[in-house]
Amino acid sequence: MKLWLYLHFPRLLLDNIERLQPHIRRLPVTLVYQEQQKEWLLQCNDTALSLGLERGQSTVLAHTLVTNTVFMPYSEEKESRVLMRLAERLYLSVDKQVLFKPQGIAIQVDSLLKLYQGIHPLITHLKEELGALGMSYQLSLGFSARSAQCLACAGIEQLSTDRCVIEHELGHLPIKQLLLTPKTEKRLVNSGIHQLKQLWSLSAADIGKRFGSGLVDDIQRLKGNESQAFEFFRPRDAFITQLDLVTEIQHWQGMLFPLKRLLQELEQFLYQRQKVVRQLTIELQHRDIEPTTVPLKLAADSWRASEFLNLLQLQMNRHPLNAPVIAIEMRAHELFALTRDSGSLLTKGVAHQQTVTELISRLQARLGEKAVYSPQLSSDPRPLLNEQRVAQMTALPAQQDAPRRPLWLFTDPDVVKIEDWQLLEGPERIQSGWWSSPEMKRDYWLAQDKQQRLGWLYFEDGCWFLQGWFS
Amino acid sequence: MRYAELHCLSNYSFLRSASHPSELVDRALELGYEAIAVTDECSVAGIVRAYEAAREQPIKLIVGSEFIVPGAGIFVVLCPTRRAYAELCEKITLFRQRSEKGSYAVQLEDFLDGFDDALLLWWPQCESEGLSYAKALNLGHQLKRRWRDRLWLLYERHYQHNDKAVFRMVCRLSKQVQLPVTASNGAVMHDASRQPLLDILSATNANQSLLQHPEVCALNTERRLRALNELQACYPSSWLMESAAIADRCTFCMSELQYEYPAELVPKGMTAQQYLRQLTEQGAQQRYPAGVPESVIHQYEKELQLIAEQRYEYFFLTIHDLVEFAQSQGIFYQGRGSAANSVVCYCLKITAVNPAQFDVLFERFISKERDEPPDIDVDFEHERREEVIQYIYKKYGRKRAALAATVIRYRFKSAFRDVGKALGFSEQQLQTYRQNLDRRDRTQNWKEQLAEQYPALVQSKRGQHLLSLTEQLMGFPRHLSQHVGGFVIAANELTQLVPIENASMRDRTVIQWDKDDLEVLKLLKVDVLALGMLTALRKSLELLKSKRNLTLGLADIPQEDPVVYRALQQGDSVGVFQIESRAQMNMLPRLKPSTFYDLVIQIAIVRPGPIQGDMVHPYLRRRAGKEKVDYPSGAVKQVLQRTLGVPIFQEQAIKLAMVAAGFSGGEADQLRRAMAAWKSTGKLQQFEDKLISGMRARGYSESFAQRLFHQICGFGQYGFPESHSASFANLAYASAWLKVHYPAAFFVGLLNSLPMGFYSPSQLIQDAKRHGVRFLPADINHSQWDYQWLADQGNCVRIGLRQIFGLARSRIESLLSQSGKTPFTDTEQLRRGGLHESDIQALAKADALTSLSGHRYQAHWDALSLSDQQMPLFNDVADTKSEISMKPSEAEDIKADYASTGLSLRRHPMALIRKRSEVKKCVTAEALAGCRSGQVIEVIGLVTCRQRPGTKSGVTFLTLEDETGNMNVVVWANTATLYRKAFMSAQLLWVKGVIEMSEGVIHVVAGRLDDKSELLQLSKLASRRFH
Repeated sequence: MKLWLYLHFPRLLLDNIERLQPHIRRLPVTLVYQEQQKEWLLQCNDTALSLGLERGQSTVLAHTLVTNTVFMPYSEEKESRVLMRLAERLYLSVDKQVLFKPQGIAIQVDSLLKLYQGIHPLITHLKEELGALGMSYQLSLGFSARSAQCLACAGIEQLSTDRCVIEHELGHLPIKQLLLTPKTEKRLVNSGIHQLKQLWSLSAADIGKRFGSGLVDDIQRLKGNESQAFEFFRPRDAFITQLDLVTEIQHWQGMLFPLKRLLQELEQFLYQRQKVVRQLTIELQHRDIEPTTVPLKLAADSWRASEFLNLLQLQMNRHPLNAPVIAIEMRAHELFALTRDSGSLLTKGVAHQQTVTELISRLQARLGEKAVYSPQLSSDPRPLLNEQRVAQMTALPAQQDAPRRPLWLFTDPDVVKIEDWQLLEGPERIQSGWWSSPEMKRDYWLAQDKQQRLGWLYFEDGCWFLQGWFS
Repeated sequence: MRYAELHCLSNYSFLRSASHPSELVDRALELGYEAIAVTDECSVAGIVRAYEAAREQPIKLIVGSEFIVPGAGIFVVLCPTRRAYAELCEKITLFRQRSEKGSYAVQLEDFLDGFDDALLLWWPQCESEGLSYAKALNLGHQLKRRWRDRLWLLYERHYQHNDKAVFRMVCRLSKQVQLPVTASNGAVMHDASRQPLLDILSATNANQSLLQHPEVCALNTERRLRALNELQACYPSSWLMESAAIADRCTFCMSELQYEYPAELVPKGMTAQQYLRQLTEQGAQQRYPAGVPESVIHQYEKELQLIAEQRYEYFFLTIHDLVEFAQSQGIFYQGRGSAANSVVCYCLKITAVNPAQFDVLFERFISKERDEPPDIDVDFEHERREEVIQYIYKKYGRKRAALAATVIRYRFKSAFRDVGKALGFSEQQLQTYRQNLDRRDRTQNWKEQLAEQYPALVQSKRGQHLLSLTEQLMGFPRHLSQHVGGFVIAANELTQLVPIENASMRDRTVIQWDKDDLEVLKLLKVDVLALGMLTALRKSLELLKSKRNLTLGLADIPQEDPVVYRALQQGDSVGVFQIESRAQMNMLPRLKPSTFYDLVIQIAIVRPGPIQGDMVHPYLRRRAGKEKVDYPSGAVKQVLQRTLGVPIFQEQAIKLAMVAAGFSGGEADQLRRAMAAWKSTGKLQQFEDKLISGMRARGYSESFAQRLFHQICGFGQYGFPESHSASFANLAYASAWLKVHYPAAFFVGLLNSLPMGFYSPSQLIQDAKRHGVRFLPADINHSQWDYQWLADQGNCVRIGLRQIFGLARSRIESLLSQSGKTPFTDTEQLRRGGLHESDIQALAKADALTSLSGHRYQAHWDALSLSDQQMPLFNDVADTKSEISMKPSEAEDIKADYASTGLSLRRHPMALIRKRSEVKKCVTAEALAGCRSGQVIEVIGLVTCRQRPGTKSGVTFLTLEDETGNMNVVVWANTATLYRKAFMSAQLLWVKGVIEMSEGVIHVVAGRLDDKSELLQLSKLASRRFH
């Protein structure tokens, strides 16, 4: 008989957030699922539960019940990523894992029984692992991945390996716990079939005629006749992890704790694989503006959290935070074997030969992609606020009928004597920016000085200023 | 320096302008302009508002419209004459009807033909629009050939970088094509202060946040109405003078629009006046078969004279024509409105309310002094109103009849959302801010509430913008929608009067004006409305005819039946029109209506208006003789006598302003409008001084004056006119009479007309059972689509299949018509009869196949084998009927009944758990009456209604239902907060509280609440048989 252990993580994403930011435990934190116009709670932490919030409540009700509830958007993709990380972690202990994204892992345990000298030592070991991570879980044994899954998701910790016992437990499972499609489930319940054993008692022909072969096969799987070939999990060769911050963080200092935890995760990840990295990207996400990307380039290959942290602390000064951070993402794509020598990217002599493109790509590799940019005019009508950085090589479409602007703008405009100038065209009146500073009200002129140079002048507070030169 | 603004958009060019038409007119006047043309984009929707503002002011209003013509620039068409106006309306109609609702389509060719009288200003927007100089030159020549001396070049300088280039091009064109030039502001706001709002609107239009896309914002504030010296600084004075010369050519005024009635209603050889008299006299004979009383003749003579003076005959004849059509089709209808309650309308059978039935001094039904169109709304059966609408279209054609528009305006929620999005707030943030606002809180407005709950938001600059701009945006028109049923019918083509555009509903067209605009222009509209109760009453009365051979029309129902009033005095009014709500029901035992006029008051008094104005309690006290009725003067007495000195109707408030504060007819009319629009405009306050000083001057006390003003404010939007109330009372009485005497017919009529009214079918059926009506379950072998009254079995009703969720009516009716009397014996027959798998499953789920399969589980199992898509591998499996061993328990049946039909004829779910100790100790609804006031009791029931009236801050009314009836629970704010979760989410609620009894009304005032919903969970109800 095959034997499967299923681990179900009912609030995986939220547990992960809490693990990395332990201080939020005292806040009622919830993950919210949104569909069309409706929003409801999907995962609640212990504090939220103790205050009466529960899965399925609308956010409006939850907010009314507990006014300081923290709502965070749920993302299946993010939760799946956490599941992957978890599987990688467990990979040291158990190899035959099948991922049931986003919340479950099924482990084929019959081949492990010898190694662990029985099922119970294995389960005890896994429980210790999971306990250390602080993840809530439900687990169960079954004679197929499917049967173990149903029992675990129903919250029944079935640890017997006796076929009869497993069958008995399964038989009593309500139809609603079988994870069938809502349509099938509804039809069965409407026909008075409330438990699996009732379904088992019907002939395959009767079921097949009404529900097709899909359900007939599924019932077989639940009986342990699983013919499905599973794709077992293989650890990735890249490290990507993300953390949503429960409270927005304004300063680097406030992010140190979660960053340390993430770096420790990376360290463990690399250590398990005997790998090193020479480049790591930390992306800090903000609410309204583009993320801040901090590339960490190591002088020498490394796998140690402490080294990354030292480097990061240096970088903090170079990357002031423009806006509060709401999430952190850490990525290391290229892993190298631990033994490999590290080398400088810009090796001798090569620089001289480079074309611009090569130089740019080198620079990008060295400094991070977003660190190399081209200046371009933006749509803000206010001079000096109308420049933006765009990623290298991405040219924006030229604006039709764009106003004529000097290429060379002064941050601090010069006072000029108007007698030295001849006004050519204008005024162009710019009165805009009421929504942010600086609010501006100026008349701009195109003018020529005695040397026939074209300048851009404006008049303010009784003085004429030179804002910039046209080429 | 003479100047006229000839190109200017109001906020009826939706999302393009930041000023109301009246603001533009007022500002232009202030700046000394001679004239202003409101030229909304392909629309004249804002012109009436502008006309209202410019009327009686020393500024000329020019009617016009702007069109953006691809590849040619901006065209501004102005109307010098009535003929030009008709041309414009026709063209707008044409351009709009080419396109979907809310948009239009034009091309250059549209301006090279037609338009014989209109003037054209052409602003050639050059390079950016792909219009080269050569092309512009060619275009100029083409336009010149067509428009000759009615064409100008338009130049607008907004201090942009390319001003010089455009200026040069305009000069060159002018010279080469020989065209005069005029200059304009091209204003989209009246004042520079509206720039932020304009930017918000632009961002909303682009569906962007302006923080990320500042390019949508205006570069500066130059697109406003500028002072004359500013204009002189930027335009040659000859161009400015030209604008005044153009304005001089425009002599058309909106007041010239004359409404002409459809003339075909009058037989040849008669005048409208003669024909109306003839119809009235004939009607009077029918209404008073025993001879028309002298007083009635006297009254209708007076009315006819007034109608003749005001020339309203055609209006009455039009409505008469519609109701005559309804009569011929057997469609129930009822007229209401002040004019509807005239003797003429009674004789024309527009209304069934006999004006002689109650001794009321109505406000004169048409006020000559106020010169306002008469007000008659006609309600038709909601299921058959479409027939009347189609009749109108058929009779007058789509060119002569169209629906009035309703201007959808920004309200708090939409304004907050759009401003917030433009300012870069996320949807989630905005929802969070919004969800905790209590918009009915009168002590704190939304701004104060936000400031209290989110101080950081209000302190931030962006937050302040959010608040102030939301406030500015509220009341702005957002788009045009169709009025519920207001038709405008014209003698000739309506498009000569106003443009018609497509509505979102197929085959519906709307004009560009709403009801207020029509009123300003004194155009008549006929309101064709839908009313569910009329459908129900017709169905009930038809049943009386077919089952009891009793032929009754609405007007034949015996009047002033004391049995009916006795029932109403007990609060027994579930299903009765207008007085079935919980608040009405509570009022009935207090007000104890015993005459028709009491019902008129009953309907009007339980409204937010009288409640906010604190009129209810004084009235009740006076009625009970507990308070002295006194009047400060004879004039006031005359107005208020019939309501014991307390103003209850809107008409009384207006009349009081006239007799006590000396308002003229016109002023009183303005007051009435301000009352109607108070919430959105706040205009009522401006009448305060005038009203109070007026009354003080006439010797009324300050406190009386203040109280009256307070009461008028209370009326606001919610005041109810006496005339409407009287018509409603008529239907209320008719439905109550049916309920008392023929409950089965009454409830069947009602249940067959749902959705309507206040109660669910389940609640109606429970009430019907309490009135001795028996119900039989829905069954495919016994039921029809509709509920049936089985009159031969007394008060016995078979539930109709319409009650089952998810059934297709057409397929069921087709099946039943085929089957004849042969009963079905298995589900396969249903399938062969045309039902789909989903229909059969719905029937099975609702237990309507019991006569075929035994019980619902088996029926469902059988139905599943008839799947539409046969399962490939199992097609050959023998079609043996497999038996399902499970039979549903009572609890399962009840649950499935509710899930499939929303009701159950089995025991009430509460009866199943009544024996449990925590339920047993609770008092049932039935037993409440036996308790004493002040007693502390426990009750438990299903929460069927949570009501928080806007009037009494902090209190919520809950209705709990158990197996014996309903209970009213009052929850005060602090109790609700304390037991918040149970209060908000419990389905089954336990309440411990104090019983309060007064004047036949029983309340339980809650002290403690607990959520007992888990008692009703099926797993707890059913025995756990599988373990």
